[in-house]
Amino acid sequence: MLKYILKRILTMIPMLIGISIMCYFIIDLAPGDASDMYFNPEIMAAHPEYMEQVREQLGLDKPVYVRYVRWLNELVHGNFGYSYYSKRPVWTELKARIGITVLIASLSIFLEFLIGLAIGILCAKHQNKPPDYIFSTLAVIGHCVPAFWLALVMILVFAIKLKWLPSTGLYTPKLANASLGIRFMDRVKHLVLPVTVTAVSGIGSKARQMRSSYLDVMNQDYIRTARAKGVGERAITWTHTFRNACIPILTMMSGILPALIGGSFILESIFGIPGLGFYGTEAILKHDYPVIMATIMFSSLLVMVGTLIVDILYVLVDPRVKL
Amino acid sequence: MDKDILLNVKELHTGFESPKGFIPAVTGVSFDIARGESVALVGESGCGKSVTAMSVMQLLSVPPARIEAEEIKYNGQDLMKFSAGKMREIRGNEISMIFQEPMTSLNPILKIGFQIAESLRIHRGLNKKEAWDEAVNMLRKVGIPDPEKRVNEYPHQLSGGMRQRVMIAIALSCRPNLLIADEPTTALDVTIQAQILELIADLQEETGMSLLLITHNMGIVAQMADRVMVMYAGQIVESTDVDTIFDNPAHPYTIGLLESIPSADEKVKTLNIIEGTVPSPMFYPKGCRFAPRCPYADEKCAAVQPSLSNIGNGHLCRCHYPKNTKGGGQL
Amino acid sequence: MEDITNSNHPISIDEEEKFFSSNVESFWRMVWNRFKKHKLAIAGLIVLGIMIVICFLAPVIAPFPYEELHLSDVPDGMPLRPGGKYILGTDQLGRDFFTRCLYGGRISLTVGIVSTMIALAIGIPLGCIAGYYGGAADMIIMRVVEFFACVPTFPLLLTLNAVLDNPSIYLVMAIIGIFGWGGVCRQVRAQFLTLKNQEFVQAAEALGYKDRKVIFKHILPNALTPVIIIATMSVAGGILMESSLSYLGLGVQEPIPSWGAMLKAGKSFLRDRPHLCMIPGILILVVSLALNFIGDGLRDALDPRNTRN
Repeated sequence: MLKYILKRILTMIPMLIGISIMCYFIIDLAPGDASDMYFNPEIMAAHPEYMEQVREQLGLDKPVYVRYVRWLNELVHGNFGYSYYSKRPVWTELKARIGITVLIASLSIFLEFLIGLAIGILCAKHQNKPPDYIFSTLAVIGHCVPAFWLALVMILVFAIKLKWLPSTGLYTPKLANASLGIRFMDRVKHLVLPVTVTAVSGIGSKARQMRSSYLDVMNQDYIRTARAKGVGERAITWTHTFRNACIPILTMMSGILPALIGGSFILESIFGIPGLGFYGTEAILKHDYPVIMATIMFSSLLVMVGTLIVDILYVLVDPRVKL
Repeated sequence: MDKDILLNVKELHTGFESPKGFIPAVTGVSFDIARGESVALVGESGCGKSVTAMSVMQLLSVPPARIEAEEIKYNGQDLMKFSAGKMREIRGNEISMIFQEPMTSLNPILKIGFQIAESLRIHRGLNKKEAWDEAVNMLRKVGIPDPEKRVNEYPHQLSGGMRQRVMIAIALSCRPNLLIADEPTTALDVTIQAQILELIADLQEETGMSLLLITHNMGIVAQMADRVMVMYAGQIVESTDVDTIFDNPAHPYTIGLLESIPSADEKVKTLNIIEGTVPSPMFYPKGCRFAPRCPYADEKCAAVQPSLSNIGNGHLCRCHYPKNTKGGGQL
Repeated sequence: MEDITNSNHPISIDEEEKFFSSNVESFWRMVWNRFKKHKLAIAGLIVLGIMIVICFLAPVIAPFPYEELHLSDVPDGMPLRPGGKYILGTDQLGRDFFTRCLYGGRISLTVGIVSTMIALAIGIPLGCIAGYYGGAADMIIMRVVEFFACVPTFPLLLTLNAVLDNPSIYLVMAIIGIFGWGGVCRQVRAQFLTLKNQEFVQAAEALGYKDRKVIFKHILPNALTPVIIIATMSVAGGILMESSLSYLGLGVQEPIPSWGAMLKAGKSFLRDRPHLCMIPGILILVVSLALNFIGDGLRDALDPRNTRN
């Protein structure tokens, strides 16, 4: 197992390099370069020879592959460059933000599995009866709802009209000195809407997938064998059917991960969550290229780590799969 | 002759509700099985043999299935009146069933040992270790080499023949009184077939259990059965002991079946067949269901359904004009 | 169809093939019959059809040009409520909301459909090659697919938009398609792998059919059935991506309307004129639902083993 993980980590490296190359070249297409960071455009226009000198100094006149290798070299030494906008090291700013994105994604995945699978099993066991129709339809709607619109709707309903939950941010500043309990509840309240909105689409798709794979498994011969053995309904549901039905869902998971991370780019903006996605979106809108590079690299890294976790789970759940 | 009757099925009618209407799969089937007896249930695909077995075991999902019977008496109790929980206690414990497709009949993600031990833990209350040890024993008994290793393996690591042995191990782990084997060797190679049948026969002798063997292969019938019941289109058309069925078959369908078995000795240009096809359950003929294909049928056959009557010494036949009635069977 | 089974002359392979392949159309008829049974799928098809027709007829149907301002009607910058001259009200610049919804639909639907077609155009051939020929080609193609799979499309799309300073909508479609072909390719390849070893293919090869013929006439029709379903879902995905993009201010630029951009503009009036946010969102939802229902119906109709009901 450990060998497999190491092997996978090794393959991640060329992937990341490949992604970085792609990003670097894409960004290179943009007009302007790092010197824009330091100088006012008017000055730049007025003193072109000086700008030439500066460019030479910063190594900006070298061909793109040379610049890339330099950049990569810096990266390997932990230097992600400096944000054009804030002038601070990108890594410092990133470090503080990755945690919250991972937290929201993890909570969301947890909810998706908990609720989505439960609804799927419910629908399968009551196939073609009212609960099935109701929940299946809800699941489809959940799956199809545009997340950013749902976010707005929920903010409208819960934050503006009902005033139950805060609309943006991670915490309420004025409670900074309150007790731990109150601060914790405050944090939780701020996370409810983002996590819910992120999870809704996943719940919908998992419920539908679980319903269909549960029904598939229910019709298999080995379930008939289990019944013929006199195994009780509860054991049939959980020990025999459920684990088998989970297998296709894990397959689905690795497809969903990029969307989950990508979705954070928009949802964090709506909810004002200072995470990886928000950072990246802002950087993109401000043309802050070092930050953009770093966020895309990290998003891809998160996706790869997630895929690795899913693949390991796969091996744990299905004994037919060998590493 | 007083037999110790283990299972007595009276007037079993099973059918399925479908969007196109009600499909009668089994009509008026009655039979009994004595302790230690091997009874073969023979017929072609679709004649209702599996449905009969599944009805006895109450393994059909009740909508869309509809099971009606005067009674299904096992050991003096009527299974039709059992609650789901009580029926579960019977299944795998007193009446066990093995199925046709060993490749798909075992749960792929559970260890072999677990699947055998499960029965023991449910029905015999053994704890994990005891059940596991007994599982190893059972594997040894069904002839699987190196059982201590195999018990920890998964079904995909075993061949078809081995998986069927595991099925038998599971079925017999709780020493049932009756084993229902639904075409247990149809999906296996001929050589493996022989081994499996021998295994079943040996275990039967050792434990004294009864066997209901469902098959379409008369060769297996000759090898394994004490008594034979022939089914056609959802009904039992002939029932007698194994010698009589081969020497003196009375029902034209049985005769046709036996004649269509190619002989290894004679050289023939064409194979014997029974003309026509099995009627669809939605459109069973009013009279005898075999009449459209029967070479001896007349207007009475087409109009009136024959009942299962005793043509001598317990030899039952559902025909207006049974053939070969001279000898008759013995019980 | 003449009964060739009893003819006296030896039959060529092509004649024989024509005899048997005349039954292909009945397969699609069978699929259609099964599809018809899904009420939701039919509803989805009707709704989608109506939307496509209305949106693409926008220049004809719309009461106003989409960029026409009516500033006099919105003196204080507050958009008008639905009713009266403007069926669905206006936005804050006095532009008719209904018109903008129609034109926005055109953009969204076009992006969804074209990007899917691009993904199919790349994914199907590559999947065929990877699945049928295997070996080095397969390995290379799958590595590329994996590569694209671990980069989240949306951030990259955003980046490209920022870098290229809001490129044309065609580039947006191309990019969504280029990042989407991986799923199609994987499916086609998986189907090829399964079907390649089935007897009917071995039979065709034994009869000496050329590679290409085997691929196109025999395997591909079977392999495409799951692809149809993926295609419907990916149209929905494309629409969603386009709206997300325009929501963030990238993608299609003013004055061309897009549902996502309209949502963003409506955000400021969330409290007082919620319909400016609600309606575009509901439109996206409805189209997405319609496509999903159609995909579900197709899934059940195309899979003969499906005994779900």
